[in-house]
Amino acid sequence: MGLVIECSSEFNYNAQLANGLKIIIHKQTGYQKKHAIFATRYGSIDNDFIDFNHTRQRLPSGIAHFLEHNILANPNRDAYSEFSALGVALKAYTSHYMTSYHISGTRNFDKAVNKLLDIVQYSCFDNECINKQQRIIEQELHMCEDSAEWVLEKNILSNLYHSHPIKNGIGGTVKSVQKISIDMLYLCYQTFYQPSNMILYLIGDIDVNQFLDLIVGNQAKKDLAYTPKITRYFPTEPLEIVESKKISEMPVVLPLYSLGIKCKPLEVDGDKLLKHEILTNVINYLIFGKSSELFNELYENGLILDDFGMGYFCNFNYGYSLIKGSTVNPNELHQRVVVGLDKVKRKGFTDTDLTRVKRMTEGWLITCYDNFYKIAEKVVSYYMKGMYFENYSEIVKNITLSDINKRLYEYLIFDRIAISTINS
Amino acid sequence: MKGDACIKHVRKMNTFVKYISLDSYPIYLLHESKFKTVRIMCFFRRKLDEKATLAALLPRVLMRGTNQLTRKAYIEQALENNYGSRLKATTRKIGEEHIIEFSLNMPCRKYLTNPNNDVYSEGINILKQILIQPFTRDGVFDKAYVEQEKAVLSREIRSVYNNKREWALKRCIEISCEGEPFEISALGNIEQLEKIDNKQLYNFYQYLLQESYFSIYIIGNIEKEEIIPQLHKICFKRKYHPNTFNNNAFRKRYNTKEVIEYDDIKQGKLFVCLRCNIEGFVNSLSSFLVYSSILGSGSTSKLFNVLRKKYSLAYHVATYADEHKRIILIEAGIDPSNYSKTVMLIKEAMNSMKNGNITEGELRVSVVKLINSLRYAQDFGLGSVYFHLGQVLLDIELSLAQFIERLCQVSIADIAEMAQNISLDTIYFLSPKEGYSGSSH
Repeated sequence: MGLVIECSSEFNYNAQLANGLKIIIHKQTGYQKKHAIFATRYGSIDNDFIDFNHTRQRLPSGIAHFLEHNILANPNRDAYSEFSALGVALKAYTSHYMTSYHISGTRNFDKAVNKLLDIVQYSCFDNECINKQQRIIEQELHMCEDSAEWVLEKNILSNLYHSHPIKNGIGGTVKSVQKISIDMLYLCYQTFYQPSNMILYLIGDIDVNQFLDLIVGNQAKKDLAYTPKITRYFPTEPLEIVESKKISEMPVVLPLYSLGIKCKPLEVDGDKLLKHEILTNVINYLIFGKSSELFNELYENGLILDDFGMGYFCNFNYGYSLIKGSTVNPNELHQRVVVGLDKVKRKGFTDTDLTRVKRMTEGWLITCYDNFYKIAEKVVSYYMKGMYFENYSEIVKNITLSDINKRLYEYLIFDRIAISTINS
Repeated sequence: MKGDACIKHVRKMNTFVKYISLDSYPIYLLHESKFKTVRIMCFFRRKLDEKATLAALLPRVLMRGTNQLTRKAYIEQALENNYGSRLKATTRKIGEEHIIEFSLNMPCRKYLTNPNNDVYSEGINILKQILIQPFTRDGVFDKAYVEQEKAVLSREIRSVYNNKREWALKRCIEISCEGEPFEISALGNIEQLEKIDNKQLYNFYQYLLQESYFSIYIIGNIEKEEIIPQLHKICFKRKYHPNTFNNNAFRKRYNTKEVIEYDDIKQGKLFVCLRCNIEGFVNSLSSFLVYSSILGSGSTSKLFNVLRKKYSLAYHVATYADEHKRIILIEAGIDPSNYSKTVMLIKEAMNSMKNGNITEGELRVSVVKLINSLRYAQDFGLGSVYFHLGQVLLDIELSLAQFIERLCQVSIADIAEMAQNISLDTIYFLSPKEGYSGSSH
């Protein structure tokens, strides 16, 4: 099995196998723990696509998540027990755009990586398992529905998006999950769980040659060839939002407020998308972060607490910001936020702001490597969206004040803002 | 038990070196070249008591302003300019101690592009101001800052109710530990909070500086010369205090308390509190931890197997051992229609452990899991600090290698004996209201 090494430095190895599997290894000496993620670019938004038989499929929501459950609890093996026996922890997550399988341990890691590749790539399903997992997933969905934060985010996304599948809950609904059949599972598995659509990422005190040999050997035994990029379809999504306000009621002591900003998608990936994301994150930080005038004004007036936070989530065909927190008075909070946003848009940012953000980012890019789980998540998530985390530092260094102020102007469009609150 | 290779490895690891500051408090330094973050953690320790609310409020007010950085915005800007340093203040309880923690994280100066950076001295300068030069008016805390932080803390106390899982846990502890200090929340309570004014809080602050047990931990790729002299700036002319050791009074409940409460939720939250009543608990600490692990930690545990894999009653099921309070909490998210069956299965699992129905495989996997989590903890600065602090709070001084060795020595007979001393204290169930069950289609 051919292996092409794309980049090799003291601590960073990028490679690609002939079957298309992307491999990234970050060597960090002195740590006991090793962490690996085996991920596929298949998430809750991928319901409309051309399958491995070249047929277009439109399927119910929640399959990526359902598949994740069934891969780990399939009839031939019990994944959790097998990893436990090796002393390695296993976790799995499905997001909007990827499904990832994480292992971490301090020993038997070579065996664990082999096992991870085999469990994910040699899966089969049966109806008994499917029925069992359906019941477990129902409990998981109910657990989500009890979470005010989960409901808040779901409401914002349905306010912002007309038809883009980003607005659907990641696990689907009880009804949609009941429609999932064994044939659908196999179809999605055989389409998306191909090495060309996947990445294996390792971090820790790893013998790079040993693990590269192991991975090459493992893949060579399998009949998996390079497959072309999967065609995925997304409905045309207008720039306008659906509705500007939604209020839900749940038994909460303090109302929860969230504000969503819909962005025009960039329609490209790579460094352009990364720069776009960085600029938007910087802007959000300067507007809503703890050092900002708006945050401090709201806090000093008792309208927000320390849990007030924000994030920008984007891929090549969607982008939205989510700002949220607890508040005593969602209406007053919103009024002040709107005034604050207007003020920022008129004033713009200064060189002092930019210098401060650059120094802060420099420090963050150093310290983030101390948290393997976080850095692994970041590198893999960016890769799955067509971006490279290793280019982050260079992009930040070269940002100009004009870049930020230009992005600010395009970003803060008041017609594309929606709010969602949860009241008691 | 094949722990030898692991123990040998762990013995090679660095341990904390203790220094005494000019102000007589201990400073523990762990030099770790692999970390890119330098952490400085300051702990104020006191007993959990009626002053808990004052202790919960104080750090928040200290973080609002110093005599130079008079607003939170300026503190945050100073930290950002200091290469994204982070300063966080929290209150937590460990056993029946109430701990105020100030944690300063800075990037290791060796990695910054400007070789003449003064990231440590600037960071400690900010920390010093927060701890001993707070913003004051007329010799006490600013009234507006105190009132604002009271409002924030009040809402935080009340908003625990928003998270049904946290709420159910809180209720279980309140019911199980009624009358014990442990029932007091680390955030304090609303009734006491409303009575606090800025003068009273300032008096408590003075009292805390003198009367609490204080220590500093430093961990990172840093030499003592780079940091210890700087820490002498943090000086509040303290008296020296011996270690405050909490001797938990334990009680055995002869009839299990069972409480069901109702709320507008879709999934029921079950919490079961188990108590350990064994003489010389510290000597049985390993058995206690392994017991909890076998019972409910992870996908090979007894409870995961029976509640999730065999009967699909729960998606989430776990145990949490608190060795400082000597309790184990069992948690499961279930449908109310399965309540009785779940409780019965939990009791069965506990009985089977009393009878020693544990395989060597179960024992091995559980011990390995515990060892792995201890070893992982050393990969994080926080993990090493909390391990050391946890030992200090138990008044023991085992190195990580010794601790792991003891875990490896635990036998099935030890677990069965431990099981005899573990009683089912309280069952608490937060149930969906009738007709509100999540099992509707």
